[in-house]
Amino acid sequence: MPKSHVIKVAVEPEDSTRARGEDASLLIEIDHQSWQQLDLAARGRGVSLSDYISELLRIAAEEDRLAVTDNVTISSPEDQRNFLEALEASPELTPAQRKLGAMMRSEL
Amino acid sequence: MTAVRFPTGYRLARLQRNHPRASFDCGSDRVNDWLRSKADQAQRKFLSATTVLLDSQEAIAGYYTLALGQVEFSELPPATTRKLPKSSLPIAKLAWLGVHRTHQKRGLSERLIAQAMLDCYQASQWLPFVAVIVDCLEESLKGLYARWDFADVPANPTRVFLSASQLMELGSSQ
Repeated sequence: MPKSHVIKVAVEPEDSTRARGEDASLLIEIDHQSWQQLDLAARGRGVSLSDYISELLRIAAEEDRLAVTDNVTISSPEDQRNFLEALEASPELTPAQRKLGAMMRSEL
Repeated sequence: MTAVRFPTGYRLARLQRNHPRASFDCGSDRVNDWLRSKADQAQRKFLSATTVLLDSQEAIAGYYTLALGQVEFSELPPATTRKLPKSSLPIAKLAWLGVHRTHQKRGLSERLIAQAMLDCYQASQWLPFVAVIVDCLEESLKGLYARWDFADVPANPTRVFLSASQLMELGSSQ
């Protein structure tokens, strides 16, 4: 049977856990090869394996959140003006857009 | 208006945990990864909504993810601030869309886009936003939307948009 490792990783506690004054942690079981790679990477950063995995989890969660909620920024005044003018323009549809509309209305 | 027509054997559904996400392969690792490991979590956190297109075997033939967001303006011109109440405006986002390799070249992506726009149109009746912005991920994928004359978002090379007034026309014109 392949060797595996169990690592205890501190995570951000839920409100109920924090209210009880308790720490939150996850037990993560990983195979030996993954453990070696993570351990090497953690040593390279000069942090413990547990702290390294905790940071990876935090970054991954943040990336997930940002993947759908990141905002669109338009910085230059000229770009802003162009965008706002496009929003306010008369909504005359092109032939392609009329086809898209027909699909939306189940006509195609 | 109910739903876009898909070829016989396909049906739409809200993403569920028991859908076979692991076998989805559209050819893009990023688009696969979102569906396989992130879309369900984001949906359960109410950050986004993912609709899947299931084939007759209940495999995922395609999907799209919608979310809400904002367009932020920095250093808004004085002439503009007089017309707008805020320095940011609400938008709907078509954040992800993909069609499984074995279901490509059947016109499913254009129908998924149409269904996503229909969802946005229906949502906009109750939850207003100024535009639908599409995250194309790569400039090479913009062609899929340029075909429908989506306009470029200034200074955002991988994003295109339809204004809310265009969306209203799409949903109501004959």
